[in-house]
Amino acid sequence: MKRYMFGTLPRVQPKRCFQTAIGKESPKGNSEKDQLFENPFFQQLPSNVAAVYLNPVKFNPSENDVLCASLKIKSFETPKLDTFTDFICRTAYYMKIPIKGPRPLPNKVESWTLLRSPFIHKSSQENFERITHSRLIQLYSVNPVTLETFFSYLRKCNMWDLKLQAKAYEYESIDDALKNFESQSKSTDNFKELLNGPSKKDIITQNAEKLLRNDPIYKDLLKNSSRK
Amino acid sequence: MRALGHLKHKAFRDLLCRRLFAEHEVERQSNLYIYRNPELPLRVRLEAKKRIEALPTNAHPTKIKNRCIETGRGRGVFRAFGLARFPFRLKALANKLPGVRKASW
Repeated sequence: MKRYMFGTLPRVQPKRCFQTAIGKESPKGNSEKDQLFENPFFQQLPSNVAAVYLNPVKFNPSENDVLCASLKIKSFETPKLDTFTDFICRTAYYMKIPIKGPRPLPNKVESWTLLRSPFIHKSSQENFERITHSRLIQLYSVNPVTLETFFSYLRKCNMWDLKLQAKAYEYESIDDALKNFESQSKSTDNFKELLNGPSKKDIITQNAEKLLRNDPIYKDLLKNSSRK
Repeated sequence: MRALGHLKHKAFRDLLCRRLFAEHEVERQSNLYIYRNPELPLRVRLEAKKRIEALPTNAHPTKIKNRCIETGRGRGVFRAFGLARFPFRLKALANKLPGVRKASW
Protein backbone atom coordinates (compact mmCIF):
# COMPACT_ATOMS: atom_id res chain seq x y z
CA MET A 1 0.00 0.00 0.00
CA LYS A 2 1.58 3.23 -1.12
CA ARG A 3 1.52 6.28 1.08
CA TYR A 4 0.52 9.50 -0.61
CA MET A 5 1.93 12.79 0.58
CA PHE A 6 -0.46 15.68 0.86
CA GLY A 7 -0.58 17.68 -2.32
CA THR A 8 0.71 15.01 -4.65
CA LEU A 9 -2.72 14.18 -5.96
CA PRO A 10 -3.40 15.78 -9.33
CA ARG A 11 -6.23 18.24 -9.69
CA VAL A 12 -9.05 17.29 -11.97
CA GLN A 13 -8.55 20.28 -14.24
CA PRO A 14 -5.96 23.06 -14.52
CA LYS A 15 -6.28 25.77 -11.93
CA ARG A 16 -7.03 28.47 -14.44
CA CYS A 17 -10.01 26.67 -15.88
CA PHE A 18 -12.99 27.41 -13.66
CA GLN A 19 -15.89 25.11 -14.41
CA THR A 20 -18.46 23.40 -12.28
CA ALA A 21 -17.51 20.01 -10.98
CA ILE A 22 -20.92 18.75 -12.06
CA GLY A 23 -20.40 19.37 -15.71
CA LYS A 24 -20.09 17.66 -19.02
CA GLU A 25 -18.16 14.43 -19.07
CA SER A 26 -15.18 14.17 -21.32
CA PRO A 27 -15.51 11.96 -24.39
CA LYS A 28 -12.85 9.63 -23.03
CA GLY A 29 -14.02 6.54 -21.25
CA ASN A 30 -11.97 7.09 -18.11
CA SER A 31 -11.86 10.80 -17.30
CA GLU A 32 -9.50 12.53 -14.92
CA LYS A 33 -12.29 12.87 -12.41
CA ASP A 34 -12.87 9.12 -12.42
CA GLN A 35 -9.17 8.50 -11.95
CA LEU A 36 -9.16 10.83 -8.99
CA PHE A 37 -12.19 9.17 -7.46
CA GLU A 38 -10.65 5.73 -7.85
CA ASN A 39 -7.54 6.78 -5.98
CA PRO A 40 -7.54 4.97 -2.59
CA PHE A 41 -6.07 7.93 -0.71
CA PHE A 42 -8.69 10.23 -2.13
CA GLN A 43 -11.43 7.89 -1.00
CA GLN A 44 -10.24 8.12 2.60
CA LEU A 45 -10.31 11.90 2.73
CA PRO A 46 -13.17 13.66 4.50
CA SER A 47 -15.51 15.36 2.08
CA ASN A 48 -14.47 18.93 2.83
CA VAL A 49 -10.79 18.10 2.31
CA ALA A 50 -11.58 16.20 -0.86
CA ALA A 51 -13.48 19.22 -2.15
CA VAL A 52 -10.23 21.18 -2.27
CA TYR A 53 -9.03 18.99 -5.14
CA LEU A 54 -12.19 19.63 -7.14
CA ASN A 55 -13.30 22.83 -8.76
CA PRO A 56 -15.67 24.95 -6.67
CA VAL A 57 -19.34 24.20 -7.01
CA LYS A 58 -21.53 27.23 -7.45
CA PHE A 59 -25.14 28.26 -7.86
CA ASN A 60 -25.79 29.55 -11.34
CA PRO A 61 -28.16 32.52 -11.48
CA SER A 62 -31.44 32.06 -13.29
CA GLU A 63 -33.02 34.53 -15.67
CA ASN A 64 -35.08 36.10 -12.88
CA ASP A 65 -32.08 36.84 -10.68
CA VAL A 66 -30.98 40.46 -10.41
CA LEU A 67 -27.37 41.64 -10.32
CA CYS A 68 -26.70 42.85 -6.77
CA ALA A 69 -22.94 43.27 -6.60
CA SER A 70 -19.82 42.88 -8.67
CA LEU A 71 -16.45 42.03 -7.18
CA LYS A 72 -13.15 42.78 -8.88
CA ILE A 73 -9.92 41.20 -7.65
CA LYS A 74 -6.55 42.50 -8.86
CA SER A 75 -3.06 41.18 -8.32
CA PHE A 76 0.38 41.01 -9.88
CA GLU A 77 0.68 37.25 -9.30
CA THR A 78 -1.64 34.79 -10.97
CA PRO A 79 -1.39 31.80 -8.57
CA LYS A 80 -2.32 33.90 -5.56
CA LEU A 81 -5.14 35.52 -7.50
CA ASP A 82 -6.55 32.16 -8.56
CA THR A 83 -6.30 30.76 -5.05
CA PHE A 84 -8.24 33.63 -3.54
CA THR A 85 -10.77 33.61 -6.36
CA ASP A 86 -11.32 29.93 -5.69
CA PHE A 87 -11.86 30.76 -2.04
CA ILE A 88 -14.40 33.44 -2.92
CA CYS A 89 -16.37 31.01 -5.07
CA ARG A 90 -16.50 28.44 -2.30
CA THR A 91 -17.55 31.05 0.24
CA ALA A 92 -20.33 32.21 -2.04
CA TYR A 93 -21.49 28.62 -2.46
CA TYR A 94 -21.65 28.01 1.29
CA MET A 95 -23.58 31.25 1.74
CA LYS A 96 -25.91 30.18 -1.11
CA ILE A 97 -25.16 33.20 -3.27
CA PRO A 98 -25.58 32.74 -7.04
CA ILE A 99 -22.51 33.95 -8.87
CA LYS A 100 -21.18 34.35 -12.37
CA GLY A 101 -17.50 34.09 -13.05
CA PRO A 102 -14.69 34.28 -12.13
CA ARG A 103 -14.20 36.01 -15.42
CA PRO A 104 -10.68 37.15 -16.36
CA LEU A 105 -10.49 40.80 -17.36
CA PRO A 106 -7.85 42.14 -19.75
CA ASN A 107 -4.40 42.55 -18.24
CA LYS A 108 -2.96 45.96 -17.59
CA VAL A 109 0.69 46.19 -18.64
CA GLU A 110 2.96 49.02 -17.50
CA SER A 111 6.39 49.08 -19.08
CA TRP A 112 9.46 51.20 -18.46
CA THR A 113 12.56 51.52 -20.60
CA LEU A 114 15.58 53.00 -18.87
CA LEU A 115 19.32 53.26 -19.19
CA ARG A 116 21.48 50.66 -17.53
CA SER A 117 24.17 53.14 -16.63
CA PRO A 118 23.88 56.06 -14.20
CA PHE A 119 25.94 58.28 -16.53
CA ILE A 120 25.83 58.52 -20.35
CA HIS A 121 25.92 55.18 -22.30
CA LYS A 122 22.59 55.90 -23.95
CA SER A 123 22.77 52.91 -26.28
CA SER A 124 22.58 50.36 -23.46
CA GLN A 125 19.01 50.17 -22.16
CA GLU A 126 16.76 47.77 -20.28
CA ASN A 127 13.04 47.02 -20.27
CA PHE A 128 10.90 46.42 -17.20
CA GLU A 129 7.20 45.73 -16.96
CA ARG A 130 4.44 45.15 -14.45
CA ILE A 131 1.36 43.14 -15.38
CA THR A 132 -1.82 43.52 -13.33
CA HIS A 133 -4.20 40.58 -13.60
CA SER A 134 -7.83 40.92 -12.56
CA ARG A 135 -10.90 38.75 -12.18
CA LEU A 136 -14.57 39.68 -12.09
CA ILE A 137 -17.21 37.91 -10.01
CA GLN A 138 -20.84 38.97 -10.13
CA LEU A 139 -23.29 38.23 -7.33
CA TYR A 140 -26.99 37.84 -8.03
CA SER A 141 -30.10 38.13 -5.87
CA VAL A 142 -28.48 38.50 -2.47
CA ASN A 143 -30.07 39.72 0.73
CA PRO A 144 -28.34 42.98 1.76
CA VAL A 145 -27.51 41.53 5.18
CA THR A 146 -25.97 38.44 3.60
CA LEU A 147 -24.06 40.63 1.18
CA GLU A 148 -22.66 42.73 4.02
CA THR A 149 -21.66 39.58 5.90
CA PHE A 150 -20.03 38.20 2.78
CA PHE A 151 -17.98 41.35 2.22
CA SER A 152 -16.98 41.50 5.88
CA TYR A 153 -15.76 37.92 5.76
CA LEU A 154 -13.75 38.56 2.59
CA ARG A 155 -12.25 41.66 4.15
CA LYS A 156 -11.26 39.62 7.16
CA CYS A 157 -9.71 36.77 5.15
CA ASN A 158 -8.04 38.97 2.55
CA MET A 159 -4.55 38.06 1.36
CA TRP A 160 -1.69 40.45 0.89
CA ASP A 161 -0.78 41.68 -2.59
CA LEU A 162 -4.45 41.54 -3.57
CA LYS A 163 -6.84 44.37 -4.24
CA LEU A 164 -10.58 43.91 -3.84
CA GLN A 165 -13.04 46.31 -5.45
CA ALA A 166 -16.72 45.83 -4.74
CA LYS A 167 -19.76 47.52 -6.23
CA ALA A 168 -23.23 47.08 -4.74
CA TYR A 169 -26.32 47.98 -6.74
CA GLU A 170 -29.65 49.21 -5.39
CA TYR A 171 -32.92 49.19 -7.31
CA GLU A 172 -36.19 51.06 -6.86
CA SER A 173 -39.30 51.67 -8.89
CA ILE A 174 -39.70 54.73 -11.09
CA ASP A 175 -42.83 55.88 -9.25
CA ASP A 176 -41.00 56.04 -5.93
CA ALA A 177 -38.10 57.83 -7.58
CA LEU A 178 -40.41 60.47 -9.06
CA LYS A 179 -42.26 60.98 -5.80
CA ASN A 180 -39.16 61.43 -3.66
CA PHE A 181 -37.01 63.22 -6.22
CA GLU A 182 -36.22 66.35 -4.22
CA SER A 183 -35.65 64.65 -0.88
CA GLN A 184 -33.49 62.02 -2.53
CA SER A 185 -31.30 64.58 -4.23
CA LYS A 186 -30.79 66.24 -0.85
CA SER A 187 -30.08 62.91 0.80
CA THR A 188 -27.56 62.12 -1.94
CA ASP A 189 -25.77 65.40 -1.33
CA ASN A 190 -25.78 64.73 2.40
CA PHE A 191 -24.35 61.30 1.76
CA LYS A 192 -21.55 62.73 -0.35
CA GLU A 193 -20.83 65.29 2.36
CA LEU A 194 -20.69 62.61 5.02
CA LEU A 195 -18.52 60.38 2.88
CA ASN A 196 -15.96 62.83 1.57
CA GLY A 197 -16.33 65.97 3.65
CA PRO A 198 -16.61 69.44 2.14
CA SER A 199 -14.97 69.83 -1.24
CA LYS A 200 -11.90 71.96 -1.83
CA LYS A 201 -13.90 74.47 -3.84
CA ASP A 202 -16.40 74.93 -1.00
CA ILE A 203 -13.61 75.54 1.50
CA ILE A 204 -12.02 78.19 -0.72
CA THR A 205 -15.33 79.88 -1.47
CA GLN A 206 -16.29 80.07 2.19
CA ASN A 207 -12.88 81.40 3.15
CA ALA A 208 -13.04 84.05 0.43
CA GLU A 209 -16.46 85.21 1.63
CA LYS A 210 -15.16 85.29 5.18
CA LEU A 211 -12.24 87.46 4.08
CA LEU A 212 -14.50 89.88 2.26
CA ARG A 213 -16.76 90.20 5.31
CA ASN A 214 -14.27 90.34 8.15
CA ASP A 215 -11.06 91.78 6.75
CA PRO A 216 -10.88 95.55 7.48
CA ILE A 217 -9.04 96.48 4.28
CA TYR A 218 -11.51 94.65 2.06
CA LYS A 219 -14.35 96.22 4.05
CA ASP A 220 -13.06 99.75 3.44
CA LEU A 221 -12.47 99.08 -0.23
CA LEU A 222 -15.97 97.71 -0.67
CA LYS A 223 -17.48 100.69 1.14
CA ASN A 224 -15.53 103.21 -0.91
CA SER A 225 -16.41 101.55 -4.17
CA SER A 226 -20.07 101.35 -3.20
CA ARG A 227 -20.10 105.04 -2.34
CA LYS A 228 -18.65 105.98 -5.70
CA MET B 1 15.37 53.82 5.37
CA ARG B 2 18.32 56.10 5.98
CA ALA B 3 18.11 59.53 7.55
CA LEU B 4 17.50 62.55 5.36
CA GLY B 5 21.17 63.49 5.37
CA HIS B 6 21.72 61.71 2.08
CA LEU B 7 19.41 64.02 0.18
CA LYS B 8 20.58 66.95 -1.87
CA HIS B 9 19.99 70.51 -0.74
CA LYS B 10 17.50 70.91 -3.58
CA ALA B 11 15.45 68.07 -2.14
CA PHE B 12 15.33 69.96 1.16
CA ARG B 13 14.24 73.05 -0.71
CA ASP B 14 11.50 71.03 -2.34
CA LEU B 15 10.35 69.80 1.07
CA LEU B 16 10.28 73.39 2.29
CA CYS B 17 8.24 74.46 -0.73
CA ARG B 18 5.71 71.70 -0.17
CA ARG B 19 5.32 72.63 3.47
CA LEU B 20 4.92 76.34 2.74
CA PHE B 21 2.45 75.61 -0.03
CA ALA B 22 0.37 73.47 2.32
CA GLU B 23 0.37 76.20 4.96
CA HIS B 24 -0.65 79.01 2.61
CA GLU B 25 -2.86 77.07 0.21
CA VAL B 26 -6.25 78.17 1.50
CA GLU B 27 -5.21 81.81 1.83
CA ARG B 28 -3.68 81.83 -1.63
CA GLN B 29 -6.62 80.14 -3.32
CA SER B 30 -9.11 82.42 -1.56
CA ASN B 31 -7.34 85.56 -2.74
CA LEU B 32 -7.06 84.06 -6.19
CA TYR B 33 -10.80 83.47 -6.16
CA ILE B 34 -11.40 87.10 -5.19
CA TYR B 35 -8.96 88.34 -7.82
CA ARG B 36 -10.62 86.35 -10.60
CA ASN B 37 -14.15 87.37 -9.65
CA PRO B 38 -15.36 89.93 -12.22
CA GLU B 39 -18.35 90.98 -10.12
CA LEU B 40 -16.18 92.60 -7.48
CA PRO B 41 -14.87 96.15 -7.88
CA LEU B 42 -11.42 96.59 -9.36
CA ARG B 43 -9.76 97.91 -6.20
CA VAL B 44 -10.77 94.83 -4.25
CA ARG B 45 -9.38 92.58 -6.96
CA LEU B 46 -6.10 94.49 -7.07
CA GLU B 47 -5.81 94.19 -3.31
CA ALA B 48 -6.23 90.44 -3.65
CA LYS B 49 -3.52 90.33 -6.29
CA LYS B 50 -1.22 92.33 -4.04
CA ARG B 51 -1.74 89.81 -1.27
CA ILE B 52 -0.97 86.89 -3.54
CA GLU B 53 2.28 88.53 -4.59
CA ALA B 54 3.14 89.23 -0.96
CA LEU B 55 3.19 85.53 -0.12
CA PRO B 56 6.62 83.90 0.20
CA THR B 57 8.09 82.84 -3.12
CA ASN B 58 8.47 79.20 -2.08
CA ALA B 59 4.74 78.94 -1.34
CA HIS B 60 3.87 78.85 -5.04
CA PRO B 61 2.93 75.48 -6.53
CA THR B 62 5.29 76.03 -9.45
CA LYS B 63 8.23 75.62 -7.08
CA ILE B 64 7.26 72.05 -6.27
CA LYS B 65 9.25 69.41 -8.12
CA ASN B 66 8.98 65.64 -7.93
CA ARG B 67 12.33 64.35 -6.78
CA CYS B 68 13.72 60.92 -6.08
CA ILE B 69 13.03 59.86 -2.50
CA GLU B 70 16.30 57.90 -2.42
CA THR B 71 18.86 60.14 -4.07
CA GLY B 72 17.15 63.49 -4.51
CA ARG B 73 17.69 63.51 -8.26
CA GLY B 74 15.27 65.81 -10.05
CA ARG B 75 15.15 64.26 -13.50
CA GLY B 76 14.08 60.89 -14.76
CA VAL B 77 11.82 60.31 -11.75
CA PHE B 78 9.03 57.74 -12.07
CA ARG B 79 5.92 59.14 -10.45
CA ALA B 80 4.47 55.75 -9.58
CA PHE B 81 7.44 54.83 -7.38
CA GLY B 82 9.00 58.18 -6.47
CA LEU B 83 12.38 56.91 -7.65
CA ALA B 84 14.85 58.09 -10.24
CA ARG B 85 15.74 55.67 -13.00
CA PHE B 86 18.94 54.26 -11.52
CA PRO B 87 17.57 53.48 -8.00
CA PHE B 88 14.49 52.11 -9.75
CA ARG B 89 16.65 49.75 -11.76
CA LEU B 90 18.61 48.61 -8.73
CA LYS B 91 15.45 47.89 -6.74
CA ALA B 92 13.75 46.21 -9.67
CA LEU B 93 16.69 43.87 -10.22
CA ALA B 94 16.75 43.12 -6.49
CA ASN B 95 13.05 42.21 -6.74
CA LYS B 96 12.00 44.82 -4.21
CA LEU B 97 9.31 46.55 -6.27
CA PRO B 98 5.97 44.71 -6.26
CA GLY B 99 5.12 43.14 -9.58
CA VAL B 100 8.03 44.65 -11.52
CA ARG B 101 10.15 42.30 -13.60
CA LYS B 102 12.29 42.38 -16.71
CA ALA B 103 10.25 42.48 -19.88
CA SER B 104 10.74 40.45 -23.02
CA TRP B 105 8.25 40.02 -25.81
